[in-house]
Amino acid sequence: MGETATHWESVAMPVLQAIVEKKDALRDRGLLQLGVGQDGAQWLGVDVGQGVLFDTLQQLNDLGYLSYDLKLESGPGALFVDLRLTGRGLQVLGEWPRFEAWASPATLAAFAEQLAQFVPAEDRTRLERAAAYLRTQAPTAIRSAAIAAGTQLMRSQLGLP
Amino acid sequence: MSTWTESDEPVLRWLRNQGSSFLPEPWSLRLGLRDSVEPPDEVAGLDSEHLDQALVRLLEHGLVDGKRQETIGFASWTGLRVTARGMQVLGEWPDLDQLASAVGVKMLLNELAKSAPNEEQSSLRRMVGVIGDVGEGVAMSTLNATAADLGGGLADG
Repeated sequence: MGETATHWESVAMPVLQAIVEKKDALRDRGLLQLGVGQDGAQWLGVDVGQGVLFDTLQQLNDLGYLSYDLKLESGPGALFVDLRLTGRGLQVLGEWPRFEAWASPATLAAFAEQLAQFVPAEDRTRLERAAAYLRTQAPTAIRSAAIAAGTQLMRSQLGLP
Repeated sequence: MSTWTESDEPVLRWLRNQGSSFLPEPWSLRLGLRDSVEPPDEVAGLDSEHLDQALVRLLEHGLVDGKRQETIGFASWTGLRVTARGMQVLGEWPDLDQLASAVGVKMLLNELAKSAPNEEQSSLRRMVGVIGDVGEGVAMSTLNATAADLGGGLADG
């Protein structure tokens, strides 16, 4: 469990946020262009290569966070026509800060202390110990652990080790 | 060891590191389906045929996307990319729906326990047990209320 930012945090979220910030300009233009002489990443204001942006837009579309009509051109170039954030995408933009809030050392430690109220005395000490430990953890370490936990869940659903 | 760990996961990671198959320059894979044909690159020690089979399985699981065309003795792949689900399996993207559940919280605590010292490890595992004891609904309401008190929280539990 490292503390390096995941692709989600370093690329996907900034792209989602940039699309929200540029939504009026995107509506006026009608499309986002990538390819030779059409630096969509620069226009969006995200610090990623065009290939990374091209893949990331498709991945965000995989989960229904974005909607567009994709046209590929020789050149090569790509036109993301009528690119916009969906309701689900907006929900995720709202959910992520809330996720960051609950998957924080302070919240998880306070949660352990709250749970301690429901248990017998012998367990209370252990939950207090858990709370003290959780408080010492770095926020990024907890977020990484949360993402790793989600990965494990998904793998088990797919029958993968 | 399994097909996943020996072949499919390394191929998924390899594809993740290749970059876009369309921009800035398109690339494709032409894989020989006979033993005598060498693979285009060394990918997890697989020959062409096994690389193709791994990609087919990953495609069937929705972990990669791409177009496969087979001709006599060869399979051609274009538009290859790792999907969002693939990124989640690789631990690069979160599954927010799962994480916002009691199961997700318990998995998170178990994950944290793995790198904790012995005493704390058992404390975190007991915390997981308590979440089960008090009931997942109560636990999630408590977590949500705690997060809200501290300035965050999941809107609808």
